[in-house]
This record gives sequence, structure tokens and C-alpha cells, in this order.
Amino acid sequence: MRHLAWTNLKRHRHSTLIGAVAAGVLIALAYAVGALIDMRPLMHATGSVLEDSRLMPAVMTLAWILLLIFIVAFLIYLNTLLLARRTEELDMYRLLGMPSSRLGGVLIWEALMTGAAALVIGLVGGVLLSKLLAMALVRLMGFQTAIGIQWSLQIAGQLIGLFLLVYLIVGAVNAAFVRTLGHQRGRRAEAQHLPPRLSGWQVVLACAGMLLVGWSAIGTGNYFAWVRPLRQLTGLPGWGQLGLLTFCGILGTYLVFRQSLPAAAFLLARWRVVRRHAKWLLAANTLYQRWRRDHFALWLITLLSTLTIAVLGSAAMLLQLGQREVENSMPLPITASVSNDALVEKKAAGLITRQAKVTTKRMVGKTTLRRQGRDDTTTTLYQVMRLSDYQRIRQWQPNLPALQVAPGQAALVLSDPAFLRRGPAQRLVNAGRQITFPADGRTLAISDLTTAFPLGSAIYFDRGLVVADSDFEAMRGVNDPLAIYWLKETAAGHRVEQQLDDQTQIDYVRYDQAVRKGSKLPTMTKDTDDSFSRSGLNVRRPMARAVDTLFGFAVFITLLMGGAVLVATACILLLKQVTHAQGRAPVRRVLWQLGMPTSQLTGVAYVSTFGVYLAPLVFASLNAFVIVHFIASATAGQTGGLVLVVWAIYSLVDLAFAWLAAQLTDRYG
Amino acid sequence: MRIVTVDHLTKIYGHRFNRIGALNDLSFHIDAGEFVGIMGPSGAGKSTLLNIIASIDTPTTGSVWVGGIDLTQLNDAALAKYRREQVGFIFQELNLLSDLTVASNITLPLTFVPPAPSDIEARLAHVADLLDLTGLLARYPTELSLGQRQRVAAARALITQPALILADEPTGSLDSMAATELLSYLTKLNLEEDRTIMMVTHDAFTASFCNRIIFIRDGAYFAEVTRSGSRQAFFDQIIDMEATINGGGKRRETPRVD
Ligand SMILES: Nc1ncnc2c1ncn2[C@@H]1O[C@H](COP(=O)(O)OP(=O)(O)OP(=O)(O)O)[C@@H](O)[C@H]1O
Ligand SMILES: [Mg+2]
Repeated sequence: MRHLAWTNLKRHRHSTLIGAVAAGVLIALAYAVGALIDMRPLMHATGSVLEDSRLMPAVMTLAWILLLIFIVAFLIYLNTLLLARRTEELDMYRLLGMPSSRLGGVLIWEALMTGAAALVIGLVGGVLLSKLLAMALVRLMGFQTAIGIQWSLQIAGQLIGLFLLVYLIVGAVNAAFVRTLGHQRGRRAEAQHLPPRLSGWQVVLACAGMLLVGWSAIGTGNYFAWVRPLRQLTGLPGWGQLGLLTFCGILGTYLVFRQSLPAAAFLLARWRVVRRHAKWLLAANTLYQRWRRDHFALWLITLLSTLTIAVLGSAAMLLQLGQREVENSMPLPITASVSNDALVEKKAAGLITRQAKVTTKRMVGKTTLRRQGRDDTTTTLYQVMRLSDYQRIRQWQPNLPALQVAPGQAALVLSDPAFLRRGPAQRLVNAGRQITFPADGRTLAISDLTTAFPLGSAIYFDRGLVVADSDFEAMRGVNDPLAIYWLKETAAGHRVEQQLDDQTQIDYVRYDQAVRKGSKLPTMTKDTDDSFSRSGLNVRRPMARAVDTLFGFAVFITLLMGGAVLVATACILLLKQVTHAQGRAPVRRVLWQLGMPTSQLTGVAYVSTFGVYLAPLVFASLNAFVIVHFIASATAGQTGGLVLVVWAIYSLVDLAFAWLAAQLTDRYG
Repeated sequence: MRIVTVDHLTKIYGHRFNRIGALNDLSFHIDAGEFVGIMGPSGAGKSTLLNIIASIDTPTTGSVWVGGIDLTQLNDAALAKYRREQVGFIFQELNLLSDLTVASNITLPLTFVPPAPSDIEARLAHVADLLDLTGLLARYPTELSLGQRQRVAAARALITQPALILADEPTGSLDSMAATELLSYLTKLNLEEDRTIMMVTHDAFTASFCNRIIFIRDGAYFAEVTRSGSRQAFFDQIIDMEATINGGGKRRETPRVD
């Protein structure tokens, strides 16, 4: 029995190998994540940054369990794939008179042998991978901890137990399946490649598929003016519309693989130009068969890839967003309001290398601004700054723009970029608007607008204003001096920064009816309903580190999951490819005998293989782009740089698998 | 004019400790315009011979000249060109592509290397007319009868207008009606289009359509019979030779040939 099992595995060595290696890689990933959770010093270090030592292990454990569920589901799906292509062979064993109990035993042996191989690959790979992952984690989260090779007997034991059980169950299910074989005999005699067909309703479904996918993308992204009224036709609330659009996308993608792509290949094969070049004709026909036959797997892969690219892209985008937010809110090492500079000077005594003071005035101002095509009048709190101070700050904060401010004018600093829209001739829509101050009846003309806060947005109650020095002296407001400190770049300096960061200091300022009318000035107060607040003490380094840690961790987890999905989908496609190539080998031989040059035969293999791999990648990229774009507009993030890099890496790995598959295909026949 | 020269051809399959001699120092030649049958007992090496002439297989020693070219001297690309342009092979298993229409199956060899000839439609119409396939061009092979499929395979071999047609038991899976039909098409090709045909068969009736039969046994040349009179007389000659090659004794009943 064991011998027969071994022969069988050898006979299907390509698929056995692909299955075992893919399972091995996934088990290695599972081991590595498990071992990471077990690395006390690492978990401790992350805990200290995130201010909650349980968060990291908890999230990691959750990810681990999800990963294990995914792997088990994948192994089961893989098994059905492998078994489906062997029914003929198993049927024959039964026909030749092998008792089903014996054949079942062979299948259980086969499963256990594959499982053992996968576990060996997985555990050896896992030990190496765990070190690699730990190093990646340390880098992504930005701290220094030495990492050794991690051998966790407990995790290894758990994985061996779990996966041997899974393989045993898979083998047993296969053995049970063998008993049902006799009944199906004769039903499976259909030809390998049915002639291509295209009926009227197939054309309808093919068009419907493309329309659904297109509508789902356009509708989600809200790219055109006519989209909104169309979306509202359903009468659903916003989330309901999104749900419907998602459903459209999923259904449409299915139809695309089931109908649209085969129809396209069918029409392509009918085209005169294609028919006159065997390479393209054969490739189009192969693609027709592949898309039609494997539509379910391709659809599943597209959905998984969409999810992976979207999550990876979003994580990358959020990491960038977080870093930009830190840059925007605290660009300088330490900024403190007047109530906190004594504290800084005491704690950091002897460590301060440089310090500076900037005086601002708190004033209430009223202005009407245009935003998204509508005028809005707001009365709010402004921190007013001298133009000369602004110029001074630009030396330390080089990303601040040069502002055009003359006497009688003011440059407005606010956080919503929607106010910065430009009209004809690149002129700011809001330039030229008036701002009035009830406290002294003064009016200034807005000459410029920016979202870059000098000293960082964290030290502002709401908006900022840069005015000419002469105007500043004449304005009636409450002085609000701000201090900036640079500490020594030493361990002691960093420690003090950490201590200062732990002292949360919030400033409140009164904003009641009297203040709004200008009869009283906005002064410091306790927290009340009518008050503005700001962080009175901002330390950049610990904040930047916390953001790096948090988002780095998120990126890390999504990378892990993305890697698992990538391995699984690539493996499924590779197996389908090998199955197909084996079935297609006689045809390749015939073509060779008829005198088709080998270069052309190779061309067919490459074109058709890349067609099969590119279809899910293209649709997944399209879907993922829409999703990331949607998340970007919801969070004011930007789809650029890192998101593209993540997408490019994913695509490259996918194309590498396509190349491997094409190579394999080219070798058959 | 010599079109095929087989010169001391030997083919040995297997490796050092398990040799199977399929062809053993075989020599003969064929003139242009002949319709030659190859006969011999099962396992005599007939298919091997045809495959080597078609350059699908390679000889162990010896050489094959076709149209003045030594096949053993050609590289892969040149051999592919040779298969594409000089010979037309009608396989016993037909080897039609089930996902191509009859028309595409037939024109396939013309489209391997672009550009396809401009008279491709005219050539298709011509062979379809010759083999009575005109009404079937838009169908798929699975929608044809066996005899029709056999004719499609023949049409695919003919469309490149090869000087030499090789057929390995082309009537093997046909009933006598369909076989006669195909053979009369081949005869027509041989006479009207002046194509040289080499056909492997182990059926004396099929062989009687040829004008010369080469018998091989155990991979070596055994004898040959040339048609001189009627088909019936030729048929009897073939039966006699078959009896000799099988060690004599068995003499089958003569069917009527008309
Ligand atoms: N690929 C191969 N490997 C090993 N031996 C082979 C191979 N092909 C053919 N042979 C052997 O070579 C000999 C000749 O085979 P061939 O197929 O040429 O016979 P044949 O005359 O066509 O027989 P038949 O009339 O049965 O088709 C046989 O003994 C066969 O077993
Ligand atoms: Mg043979």
C-alpha cells in the first residue's frame, strides 16, 4: 500500500511537488508567526512603544488563527483540485478490481506522505523565516533588538498535530470519495476540448458582466457627475449603495470570467488576422478553454488578489498618511505653550542645545469662504503670527511655503485643503476675501492660504493667520508665547523626550458668547463646553515612533497575509496550468509533427499562460485601485508612491509565477 | 527522378541492455509520381520507417534523402520547414484539433510561419473540392463521421502542396466503403496532381490501389511486387507475398475486386 502510494506520488510529481511546496511555505509562515508571538523580548519592546503590552500579541494571535484557517481551507480546496484530475485514474484502479478499502488506504498514505513532506519543508523553512520576519518587524517598527534563531518546540508541536490531522482527514475524505466512484462511470467521457461556442444569451451575459464590473468601479469611485443620482435611484442609504456596488463587482467579475473573457477569446479566434497566424489562433483558442474551464478558480483568485492588493495598498497609504500627519502636526522636536516651558526647562536642564520663542496673539475672527462651490460664514479662533516670525520658522521647517502678505493683508492657515481650490489662471478662489475681528473692528484681506501650520498644527486651537509686523503690533488679542526646544541627540536626550511625552498637557481657552462678540478676549480656562483645546506640549520623536510602530505593524501583518494569499493563489494557478499542459501535450506534439517551429510553439505557451495569469491580475488591480482610491478619499490619504510600489511588487511576483508556469507548459509535449 | 532514397537505414530503440531493432540496414528508393505501399507483419518497422522519412523520428545509422536533401544533415528549424513544406503526413490517429473548425484544421500548416500565402482561400477551396469537404468547412471535427475526418486529415496534408505524401494506415479505422472512397481520392491525387504517395498498410485490398509494394520483415527489406496488369492480379500477387512473408501455408480466400 505504501509502495503504491509512493509510485502514485512520483507519477504526479509535478503537482505533488507544487502542492507540498505551497503547503510547506504556508506552514513555514504559520510557524514563523507563531514563533514571533513567542518572542518575549520583541513583544515586550513593541508593547512599550504602543503603551499597551497586550495589544501586539493579541492582534498577532488573531492573525495567526486567521492564517491557520486560511491554510486549512486552502489545503482542502487544493485536495479537491488534485482529486478531480485523478478520478479517471482512480476509476481505472477500481475497474481493474482493486478493493475500495485498499485504494482508500493508498490515498490516506499518499495524504500522510505529502503532509509529512510539507511539514518538513514548513518547519525548516519556518525556523529561517521566523528570523527573517522578526528582523523585518524590527525594521518596520523602527527599533533595535537583537534577534536570534527561534526554535519553539511548542509551536512546532501544535503545527505538526494540526496539519497531520488535516491531512489525515483529507485522506479519509478521499478514501470515502473513492467508494462513490463506480456510480459516475461513463458520465465523464466527454471530450477534452469542446468546440468553442457563442450563443445569444452568452453574449448578453458577457456584456452584462463587463457592465457590472464597470458600473461597480465607476459607482464606487463616484468619478462622474451623473453617478450620484443613478446611485440614489435604489433609494438605499450610503452603506447600502456601497454594498450593492460591491455585490455588482463580485457578480460582474464572475460573469467576466464565465462569459466575457471566453467570448472575447472566441471573437478573437474568429478574426481574420488572428486566423492567419497559427500562434495567435491557438493561443486564443487555448485562452477560451482555460478561461471557460477555470472560471471559478480564476474568479476566486481575482477576489483574493483584490483583497490582498487593496489591503496592502491601504496599509501602505495609511502608513504614509500617519507619517505625513506627524510631519504636519509636530514638525519640530519640542514645542510648548507658555504654561509648559518651565516644565521643559526643568526636566531638560543641561540637554537643551537651542531654543527659540515666537509670540502669537489669540483673536476671534469672522470670514466667509467658498468651499465645494458654497459660501460659508464662520466665526472662530485664530492664532495670529508676525510675518517676520513666519520667515524665521521657515528656516527650521523648510516645507513651509513662501507667503505673500502686505500690510492690511493676512495669510490664512487651515487644515482643510478644500479651501485651497484654484480657479481660472491658478488664482485661489478664496483670495481677496475679508476677515474681520469683532474685538477691535479691524478688517484684513486674505492674500494667501496654506495648510502648512508654522510650528505644527498640534499647537493651534483652530486656524492660524500670518500678518504684517505692523498690523500684528496694532491688533487687540491675548498674547500667546510659544517656545521651541532642540535637545541633545543622546540617549539621555531621548529619555527626557520620552518623559516629557508622558506628561499630557492640554490647554483650554474660553469661547463663549462674549468672546465671539468681541466684548471679552479669549483667555485660558478650564475644560468647559464652550472651549477650544490644543496640546500644550508636543514632542516629535515618541509620536513619530508610535506612528511608525503602529502602522509598521499593520503593514507587517498585511504583508504576511498578502504573502500567504499570493502563495496560495499562485499554487492553484500553477496546478491548473500543469493539468492543462499535460492535457495539451499531445496537441503540441501534433503541431510539432506538422512542422510548427518550436519558437512558435513556445510563443503559444507563453501567450496563453500570461493571458491566464494577467486576467485576474488586471481585474484585481482595477478593483483594488477603486477600493484604495475610495479609502483615500474617505481618509484624505493619497494614492501614490508607496501604494504603487506595493502594487508593483505584487504584480512582479505574480508575473514571475506566470513565467514559471509558461516554462513548465513549454516543457510538456 | 528519385524522390526518396533510403540508404542502409538502421533504427535501434532502447538502451545498452535492452535493445530493440526496429529497422535493420534497410535500403530502397522511390521515384517521383509513384504510389508505393509498405507492407509487413506487425512490428516489422513500417511506422518507424515512415516516421523517419517524415523526420518525426531520427535514424540510428544510415541516411534518408528526400528530394536530394540528406535529412540527417538538417537542424531543427530546417526539419520543421521540411515537414511543413515538403511532406504531408496523414496520421493513423488523424490528430485533428478538436477546437478548430474543419477549415482552420486544414489551413493550419499554412499559418505556422507568417505571412500566410495570399491564395490560402483558393487552396482551401481546391482541396475541399477534391476531397468533397466543401459543405463541412464550418463544422468541428467532433461533428464529422470517421471517414469525413479521415478526409480532413488528408486535406490538411495536401494543402501545402507537398511533393511527397506519407500515410500510415489511413484506412485502418474505416469500413470498406469509406476506405474505398478515401483510396480512390488518393489515387486521383496520384494521377491528376502527380503527387508521390507512400502508404503503410497491412490490408491487401488497400495495397492493391498502389502501383508498387515494398515488403519489409524484421526491419529489413524482404521483397517487392510491382503492378503490371489488373488490380485483381496485383491483389493476388500481394496475397501470395504475404503468405510467403508469414512463413507460407496460410492462403486467404480471395475477395472480389471491382
Ligand atoms: N518508441 C519505441 N521504443 C521502443 N521500441 C519501439 C518504439 N517504437 C517502436 N518500437 C519497436 O520497434 C519495432 C517496430 O515498430 P513499428 O511501430 O515500426 O512497427 P509496425 O511495422 O508499424 O507495426 P504495426 O503494423 O503493428 O503498426 C517494434 O518491435 C516496436 O516494439
Ligand atoms: Mg505501425
